[in-house]
Amino acid sequence: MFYLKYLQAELVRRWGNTLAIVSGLAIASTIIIVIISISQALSKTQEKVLNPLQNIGTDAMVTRSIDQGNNDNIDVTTIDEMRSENRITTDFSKLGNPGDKFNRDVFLPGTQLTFETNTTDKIDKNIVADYATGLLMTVTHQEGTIPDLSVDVKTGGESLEVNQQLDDSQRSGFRDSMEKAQQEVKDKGLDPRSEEGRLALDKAIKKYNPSFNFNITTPERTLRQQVCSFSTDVNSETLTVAGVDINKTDFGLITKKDIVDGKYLENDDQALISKSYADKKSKKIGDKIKFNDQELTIIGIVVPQLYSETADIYTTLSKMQTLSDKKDRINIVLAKAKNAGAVDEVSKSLEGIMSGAKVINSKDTAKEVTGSLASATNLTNRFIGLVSAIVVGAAFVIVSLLSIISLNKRTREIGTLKAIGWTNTKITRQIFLEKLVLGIVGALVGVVLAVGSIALLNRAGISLTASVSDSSNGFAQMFRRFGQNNQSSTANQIPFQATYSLSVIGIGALVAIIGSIIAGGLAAQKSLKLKPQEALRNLE
Amino acid sequence: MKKTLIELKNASKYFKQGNRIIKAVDNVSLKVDQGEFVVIVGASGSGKSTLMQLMGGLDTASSGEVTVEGKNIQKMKEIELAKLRQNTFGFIFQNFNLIPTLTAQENVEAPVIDKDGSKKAYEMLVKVGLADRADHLPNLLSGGEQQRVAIARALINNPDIIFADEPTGNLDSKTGEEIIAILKDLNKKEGKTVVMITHDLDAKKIADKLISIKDGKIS
Repeated sequence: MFYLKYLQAELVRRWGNTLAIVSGLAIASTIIIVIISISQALSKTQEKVLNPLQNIGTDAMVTRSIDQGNNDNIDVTTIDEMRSENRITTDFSKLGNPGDKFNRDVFLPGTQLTFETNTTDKIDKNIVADYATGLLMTVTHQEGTIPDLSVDVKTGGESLEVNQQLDDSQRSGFRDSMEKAQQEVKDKGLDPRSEEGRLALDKAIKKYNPSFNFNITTPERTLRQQVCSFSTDVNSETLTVAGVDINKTDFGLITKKDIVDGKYLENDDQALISKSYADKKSKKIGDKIKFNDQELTIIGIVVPQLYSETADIYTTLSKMQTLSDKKDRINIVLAKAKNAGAVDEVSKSLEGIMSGAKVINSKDTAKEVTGSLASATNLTNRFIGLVSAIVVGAAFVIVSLLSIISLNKRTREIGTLKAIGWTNTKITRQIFLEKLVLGIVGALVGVVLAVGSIALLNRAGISLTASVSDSSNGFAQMFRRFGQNNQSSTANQIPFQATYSLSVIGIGALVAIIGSIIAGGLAAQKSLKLKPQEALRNLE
Repeated sequence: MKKTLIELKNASKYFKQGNRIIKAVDNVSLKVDQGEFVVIVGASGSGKSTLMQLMGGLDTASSGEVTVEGKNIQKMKEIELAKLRQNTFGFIFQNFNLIPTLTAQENVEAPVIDKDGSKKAYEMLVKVGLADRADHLPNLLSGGEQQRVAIARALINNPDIIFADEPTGNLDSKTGEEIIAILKDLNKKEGKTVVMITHDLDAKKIADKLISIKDGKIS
């Protein structure tokens, strides 16, 4: 068919023009698809963060935090935890001698204080169908050499002035020796007052009373010497570890469904690690993890669904209690209501099981969520319309200009077509076909580029942070606690994964195709209106 | 009795340039009969091209009547004019006006509607002696070759009238002679009516009717 030959000839032989237009359309299409996909992904992620409990089929979560004021009925352990304020005190003297290498793991509950396991006995089984417990703590690993803390303190070299009264017995003793000495001198026939006599008296006194005893108490003194700061060769690393109740495998901090590789915990010597921890530390199944003197073997990798309570490492609850020296204690209870409509009732009931109980339920909507996740979501939501419009507008202008330029060059050609008998309809159809093909090719290239870009973006492994600013909410407390750890803790890091849906791709493709046709159409109008001779007169 | 194919009655064409009005064709009346070889001569800017454009329906007259095969083409809609240009007229231009992205054969095929276009186009090229150049793009053809392709294109729908606007203008004299010879053949042997504009004084010799134009008027 002639029109096909002409179509091919035009697009192939004027390849520069073709390339330019296709590129413009492809870029516009790509940008639109990528922006919409990112925005959708951010919205979805934000939804997940705002309603973490929804992901795991739990209706309420109970944790403990103590504000000033409700300090009745708190046990000693909890009071200690409150006092320690999440600080690690390192008493080097207890760890060994200076120069020794040391290695220890310190477990802290942070703001999520522990409570006795048997607190769950108080849960009202009439309205709570089931519950799961857990113990989630931060662990700081310290490793290094004990520094030498000895200090040389110089003392002595002080002079003491002593003034002491003789007592009675000393005085009598002195008098006795004086008499004896005087007698001795008289016996020798010397005069005690003479020079010779005095010397002899001194000698004789010495003989009869050679010494005196005095008690001297030195004055009290406090010696102060500045200790210059010693260098410490200590490395610290913090991560989050959680103990889970392995009797409950279908709901809890992690479930069997969350396992992406390996298998679920079977006994106390095993551990599961989160995928982000595995990736960050290049750990795999079979590797061992050590805490103080205890060793765990990794048997599986999980992707936890409960964003607000994610840990790097999971082990059994009993093992966790042993490792952290918190026997019979937990700090999280997840509860499932018997009746979906009674969630509020369940929340209220759970608040009463201990002092300082903080309950959040799946109905709680977000307080202010801040952090890069929220910022990014808000930004894209606000600007998605604007940016898309700008991009489409720009692409449209570019493609229009290119079309106008190329069609101007073809004005004479169009005049010739008219002279050989082509109707406006036929010419329009030909140009429409060209623009359609350009649009389709542009759309295809755009879609491929978009899919590729999104894949690259996902592989970059970007994580977004989310934290809650409302401090009276237990939810916020949890987030803030994890916010303090910025090492390998993954609690409030939400991985960003964009997906592309067919409808979004369709939108991007349509933009390219329709843009091409409209832009081309507008440009063609001008040329089509000319009479053949006017067109042929064109000197281009 | 020869049939009058084209008739102009007091036809004029004006162009506005700023405040001035330029009369390219000023009140011209003439006839072109079937089988005639009409030559229009005139100096540059005398209006001869415009005159031919009026006759061939490539432009509309500002006033007066232009009749083709008895029909007033001034009143025709664009779609009818297109049909006229396709089937009744064949155009040849000074600068060839071939479509640069199409091969010689494809160029010749362009005016054709039916499916045999390709075949017909090739036959036309054979007729003008360019069968071996069928697959060449215009930029690979010499001026004379390009003009022959244009002639083949003009002939493909077997039109009654061939309009040639300075067909030898961009060619050397020898090639020009060849082209004139082709047109002469078409006229004498196939009975095609030819309307040719030219500077070439030799063309006067072969003309059946010579029209001189000066300042838009027939002199």
